[in-house]
Amino acid sequence: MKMGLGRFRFGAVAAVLALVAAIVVAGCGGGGTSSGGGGATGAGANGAGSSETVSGGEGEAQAKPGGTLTLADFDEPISLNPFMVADILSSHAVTQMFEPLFKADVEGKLEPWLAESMKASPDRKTFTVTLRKGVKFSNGKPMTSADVAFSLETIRKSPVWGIMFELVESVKATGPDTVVIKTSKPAAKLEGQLSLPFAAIVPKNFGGESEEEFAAHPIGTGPFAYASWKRGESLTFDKNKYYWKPGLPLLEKVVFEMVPDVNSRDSQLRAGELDVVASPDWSQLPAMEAEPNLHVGIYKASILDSLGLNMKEPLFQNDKVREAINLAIDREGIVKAALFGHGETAGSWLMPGLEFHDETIKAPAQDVAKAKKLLAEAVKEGVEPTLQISLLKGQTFTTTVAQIIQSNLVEAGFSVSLRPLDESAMNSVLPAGKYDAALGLLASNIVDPSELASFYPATEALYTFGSNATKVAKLEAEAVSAPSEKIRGQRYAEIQEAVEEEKALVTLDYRPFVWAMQGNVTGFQVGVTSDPWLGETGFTE
Amino acid sequence: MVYARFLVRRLLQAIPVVFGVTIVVFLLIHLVPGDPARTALGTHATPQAVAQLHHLWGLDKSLPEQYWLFLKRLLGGDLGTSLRFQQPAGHLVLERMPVTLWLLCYATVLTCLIAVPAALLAASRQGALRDRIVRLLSVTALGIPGFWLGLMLIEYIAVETGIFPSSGYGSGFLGHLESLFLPSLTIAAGIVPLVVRSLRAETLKVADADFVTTARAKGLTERRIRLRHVLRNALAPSITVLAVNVSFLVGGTLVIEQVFSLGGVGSLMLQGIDARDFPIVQAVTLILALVVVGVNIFGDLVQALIDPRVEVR
Repeated sequence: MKMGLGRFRFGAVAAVLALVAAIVVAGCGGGGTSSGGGGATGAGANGAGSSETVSGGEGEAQAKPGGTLTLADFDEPISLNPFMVADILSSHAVTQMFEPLFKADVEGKLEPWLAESMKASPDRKTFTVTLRKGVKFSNGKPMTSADVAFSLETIRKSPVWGIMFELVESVKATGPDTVVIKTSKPAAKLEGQLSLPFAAIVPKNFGGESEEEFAAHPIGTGPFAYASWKRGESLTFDKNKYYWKPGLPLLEKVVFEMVPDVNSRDSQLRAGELDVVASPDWSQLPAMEAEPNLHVGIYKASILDSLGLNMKEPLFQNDKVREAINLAIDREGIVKAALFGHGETAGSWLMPGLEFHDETIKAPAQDVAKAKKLLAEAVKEGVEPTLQISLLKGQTFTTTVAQIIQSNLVEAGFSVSLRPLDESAMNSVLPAGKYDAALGLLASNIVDPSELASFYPATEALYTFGSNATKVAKLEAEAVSAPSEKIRGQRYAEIQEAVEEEKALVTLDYRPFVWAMQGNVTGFQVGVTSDPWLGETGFTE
Repeated sequence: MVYARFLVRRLLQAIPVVFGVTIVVFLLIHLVPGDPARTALGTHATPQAVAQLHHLWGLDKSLPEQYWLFLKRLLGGDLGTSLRFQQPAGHLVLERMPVTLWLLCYATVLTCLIAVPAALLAASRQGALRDRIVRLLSVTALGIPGFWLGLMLIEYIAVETGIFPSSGYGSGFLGHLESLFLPSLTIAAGIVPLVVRSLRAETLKVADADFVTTARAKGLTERRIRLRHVLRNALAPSITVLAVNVSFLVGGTLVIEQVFSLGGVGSLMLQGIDARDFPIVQAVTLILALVVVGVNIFGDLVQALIDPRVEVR
């Protein structure tokens, strides 16, 4: 990035090159929560278990229509093409413009959304979807069955999400309001998969444009319509005046600003320049909660934080070592110190809020003495108890968790170092298996466990390269085609057991989503995905 | 004519330097682990989908081949297409350039406005209280990290008093002037001490020179001596210090743009590095290198204009 000439300048050349080198090597970046260590984009689910307030503001106050909501995220979306969304920021933006056939409400209950109903044939291989009448795109054109068929065919072929629709064989528009979906095997609960926010309905053939052109100015049926995108600054949506839900949305305009620095986000919220901010720092929450004109929304949609142990490493192939790590970790301490008491210790890898979450799998209590004993035995068997934990850099939360685990493991007799990586580096070292242990997060975009359960084997046991991936794949295939809910439940229970047994994925905590906002913002909801539902958001008087 | 020849020569000399910078950056960004296709497709993507994208983006070619393609396109005026944004990289950089240029110019002006009076004040009586205060403040400012100062200014000036906005670029000339004041001040704070130190030392040195004694003996006023003779002679080396430091300033804007949420070239660079968006990183590097070359040449020109002893060669 630089240069200079003549007498003094080569010092400057060297200095600036050194700076570029430092930035590049450090991969210094905005960072932020994201799909990082092997996670899905969106996030857990609201609901079952403890549920806190899910509405913004003081909840009771009535919103008046109109106004512009300015919301700040930590970066900008990568893509506005719903079928290619692979990060949480794109997900936040895309879900304002696009909607799927089914949608989970804030409690996690599925309801028909752009579909009015869906009827299954007795063999559950043919599904007839009746579309909701009166739905229009933001350009005023009515949504047709041809649009729906095209959209579902497109998501099937998506390199990102296609894996979730492998069962689907064909989608055909059979009447003006009906679409028939055929599957190769019985589908136990197709609604679950169809509620994926990225199985969005778009105009047929992208309205005659290429996929890239469409993504530059997308058109959907959601409460807001794309208005403009100033790269690096803000993304603006206008109210979709053709929205099918009467009286909604309340807001005239929504502006997504990009504010990478968490401290700047907090300051701008307190200065009144922003209405809503994503992911304030956990340490700032008590101060924010104490401010009378601010409101902190903690949404029990959950992320699973976990420590993945690379089973290609001889150290972790020893069962006692994995058990020792599992027992050495102070999960209560993580919840207290890193989450400031918000969140819970994690048992099952399928988080609460997902259907069939197994509550009986409890987080083990810390037992350093036993961990030490197990490790001592393992050392006698010849293992070298040295490991490096890879983690996403630049995030206070992740760093704190890593440090707690490091000190826990050192106490149990391990020698541990930390390796902070940026997201790109993390995304490439994990699949390549070039790590010892890695802190990761996992979240689901649907309430149905099928997303995570299909993702698990597809990523070689979430890149732990555990031996149970084939078993989970088989159980998942049975669950997806299960003849009854009971059997489906059993299969998911077995999947949770299998992962718990192997202990290559050490579950740490369930982390809620946090948004902070001005006290006059009301109706701000965060549902099953991490995505805020702004359809009913507004300002009180 | 002399100046035109000087300019042409300097620009020609810049080519190998800029070329060298692109090679170093190209190698660095490619050697760091990380995969733009993985970033774009997420962890859900199948290895086949990732491989397909690699092929589409030409990432399956060897590094020398990729660099050769980059150069070939560059000669045709094409900086490549951003992998993350799927738009021409050159266009994206130029779109964000005004913010960064504004920051650079504003910070330079603020630096001059603060540093020149401060240095003259300090040098007006060596060792006096005012000299010691200026030096103490300089050392303190030098020790303050830019991002921290930025956050403090946001907290105590933008949030508490509301005089200046805590973020954004503003609109119109006055809007930019207002919105970019705090970030520019933050950047300036990092280089003011360097300029003050150089200018103060030069002023003291020149004040002892024989021609100043001669001027005094001729009965010129102290004011005229200081402004006309001392400052003019002391300024030339300080301009070099300032020009060299603009290179560091460019580095400083990367961080400060993040703190004040300014969508300039710096934040584009960070986004580019984060997503391993190679064309963006290369385009930003190249364009910033050109900016720094330009500033250095400009510094030399100004120096030559002020000080006739500096030969324009």
